[in-house]
Amino acid sequence: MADSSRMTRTIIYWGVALSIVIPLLRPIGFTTEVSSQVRDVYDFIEAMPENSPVIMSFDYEPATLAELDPMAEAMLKHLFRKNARVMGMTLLPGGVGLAENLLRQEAAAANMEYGHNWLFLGYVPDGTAAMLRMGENVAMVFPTDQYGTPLDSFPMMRGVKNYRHIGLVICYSSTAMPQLWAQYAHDRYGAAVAVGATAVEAVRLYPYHDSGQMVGFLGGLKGAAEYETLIESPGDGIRGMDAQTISHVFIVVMIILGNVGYAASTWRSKGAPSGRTHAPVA
Amino acid sequence: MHPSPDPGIWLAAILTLAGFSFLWRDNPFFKVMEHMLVGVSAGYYLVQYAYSALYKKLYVPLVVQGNLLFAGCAILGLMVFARLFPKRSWLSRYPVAFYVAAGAGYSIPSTIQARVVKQMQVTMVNFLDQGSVIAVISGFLLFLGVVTVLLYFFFSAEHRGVLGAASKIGIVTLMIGFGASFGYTVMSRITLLIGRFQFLLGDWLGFL
Repeated sequence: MADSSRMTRTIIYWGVALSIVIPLLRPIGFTTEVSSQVRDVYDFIEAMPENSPVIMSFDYEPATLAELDPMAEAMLKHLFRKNARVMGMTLLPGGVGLAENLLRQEAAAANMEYGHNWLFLGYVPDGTAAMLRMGENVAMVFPTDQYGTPLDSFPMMRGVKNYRHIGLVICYSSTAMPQLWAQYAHDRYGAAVAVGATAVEAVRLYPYHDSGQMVGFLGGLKGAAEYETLIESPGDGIRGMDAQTISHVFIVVMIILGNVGYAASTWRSKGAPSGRTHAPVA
Repeated sequence: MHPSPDPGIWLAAILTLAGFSFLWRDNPFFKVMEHMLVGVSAGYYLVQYAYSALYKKLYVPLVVQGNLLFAGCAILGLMVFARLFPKRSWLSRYPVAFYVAAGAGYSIPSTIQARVVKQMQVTMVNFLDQGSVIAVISGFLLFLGVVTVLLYFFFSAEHRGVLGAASKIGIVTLMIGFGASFGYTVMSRITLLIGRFQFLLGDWLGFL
């Protein structure tokens, strides 16, 4: 029995691995339909005036990098195309290196200059207090950038004091941080909030989009693939969707087979002793 | 195939494979990887907290800029460590009380506003006046789901008759919600695996 269970697990592990590796090596090219939640974010950024200041809070750590990096990358591409002034920050200590790398990489690709087009503010502890104080004055929370240069010495910070001067606040997160951004930055100060969330968290964001507390949101790798479709720049999101689709099909088949097997074994164990196919009437 | 010449990529790839080796069984490679992860994370977090909190938020305003208000914050912070001394541990209650009071003060009203009042307002819209058939059906299902789930959690009366029927619809709604949540969780976990395979096949081996 233990051997059979181990064998079944081995089959599932290999099945999942192959259903990911094969589509990555030989892409199929499934199309991605764009959802209204993602389109709303895209439309909002498209409608923003040139040079709008945008806060990007990279509230995630390496464990969820595979889901959130592709969407952050796609949105940075879009924002730099619109010449937005991007202020990167993070509310998690593990997000510093990730945010810094991604900002540098995309800024270099788009020829954006530090201090003029983008900034990295670094990590600040106590996220909710930071969200609230930024509603009064961003410089109170971040008197300097990550590298110790005073914020008011950067040309891109001219005229930017608090959320009233910020076009959009974007939060990427694998936790409940997006709800807090909506609660404090939007509900209290009226900031427009967009979200990039892991698929696990995305299911909780629909009510906030319906209520207008969030402009829209990108959920998981699918959200990243949808955004890449909209900006016509294929990246890890679109590349990963074939593997995602095939592995989901494999998992659904396994769930169906597992349930059929369980039902059959239950039916056999009930019927075996006396040949009956149903429980005896008391 | 163009394997990466970067030793950092090789180290990351070897550690990834060591992590996957747990699927076979617990083994020394996995143990080494696990201990490295814990050690490196602890060191990284310590540096980030020390630089971002102690240096930027305390040392610079207090010592460099001479803002004495931060001395009070430093004393409150140090009082937390009184827990280490049993006879003086009561001192640690003051900073905790301050933190709880401030946290409750700014979070309770805004939580009620953002997560209760706003959500109730969306449920109260006229779902018949939504513009399209799909939107009307969605609005009706949202209304039905919210009301029946709330009735399912109403325990002051026995779930029989109308209340019983409504709570049954409520539990079906909950099950659909849990199913959607589980589906998203599967998608999330598979994405993490895709990310690792993209790294192994692309960044490391150069196949992609």
